[in-house]
Amino acid sequence: MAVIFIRTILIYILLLAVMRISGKRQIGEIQISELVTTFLLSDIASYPLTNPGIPILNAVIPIFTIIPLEIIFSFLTTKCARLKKLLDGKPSIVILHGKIQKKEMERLRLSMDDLLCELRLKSIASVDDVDYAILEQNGQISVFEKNKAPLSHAVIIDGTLNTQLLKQIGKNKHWLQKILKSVNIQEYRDVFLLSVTDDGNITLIKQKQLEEKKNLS
Amino acid sequence: MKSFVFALLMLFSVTVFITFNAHQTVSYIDEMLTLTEFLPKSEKDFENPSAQFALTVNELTALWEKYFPMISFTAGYENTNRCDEAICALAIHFENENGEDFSVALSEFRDALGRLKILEGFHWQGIF
Repeated sequence: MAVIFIRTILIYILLLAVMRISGKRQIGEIQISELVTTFLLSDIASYPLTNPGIPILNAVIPIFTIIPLEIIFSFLTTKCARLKKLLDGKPSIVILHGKIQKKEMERLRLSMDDLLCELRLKSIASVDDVDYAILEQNGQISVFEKNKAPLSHAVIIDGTLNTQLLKQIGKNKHWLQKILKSVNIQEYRDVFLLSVTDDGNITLIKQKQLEEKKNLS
Repeated sequence: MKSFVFALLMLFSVTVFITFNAHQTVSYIDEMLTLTEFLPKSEKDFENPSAQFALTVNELTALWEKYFPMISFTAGYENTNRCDEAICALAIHFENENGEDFSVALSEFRDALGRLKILEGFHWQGIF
């Protein structure tokens, strides 16, 4: 009994420490990889607690393997958009200007009941009142009502162009290059963020601006 | 970036520990397997038992007692129990000069050690 008692304390402290290292997102907006990590950790940690015949190392080693892997992958996904898309998927528009995107919903296996339930939870009475509904990577649905502040579309994030989104908002690469030329930017990688609102307002943050801000701080 | 470097270091430390531990455990097992080669193989060997046999059995049981906590520390008691039971039987049958049962216990001990080696070393069979 004493062994199980001490093991419980050790595993609890270890899990607290590793969850702290893995970052705050773990307890909030869980991505697919984080969900897998959470399931695995809770399962692995419980084995040596319930069976004294299993060495505690059988839990410690997997925990110390999964957490670094999770950190490494989450770091790589911030650096490589393709990897992020591969591991976490991408946001999907399910309502566009009040119109339900049936094909997209079928692809996502999202039923109309689920969508209406989400709208009701957000105190929205009708689909007609919705400008955009987006199924985010973490499984939550973001809803933007009509006649409110226009939605901002991030066309370039950290030097990576989202061509699909550009097409969705009815713009093309020529339009984008024109904008970039007007502010003396030659390549996408020089842009940290370029977003366009539905009413045409553009926000552009250069990579250099960020570096300057970093240097100032 | 700091957490990324920390994660790499953590993963590296785990890999080094696992490799070192696997190497150590396999060397302990190999040492015991080598000793078993010098034990009586059949009932005939018990007819004129040499003093060396007794020394080898004592050495083998002493080695198992020494390595048992270290091996079970990573392999777990469930996986080391078969070896433990086999070596107990081996020692008892040697004392009783029961050649037939001794041979069975020796085969079981060697087989159990072989399985432990597969489980603890970097072995494809152990992984799958």
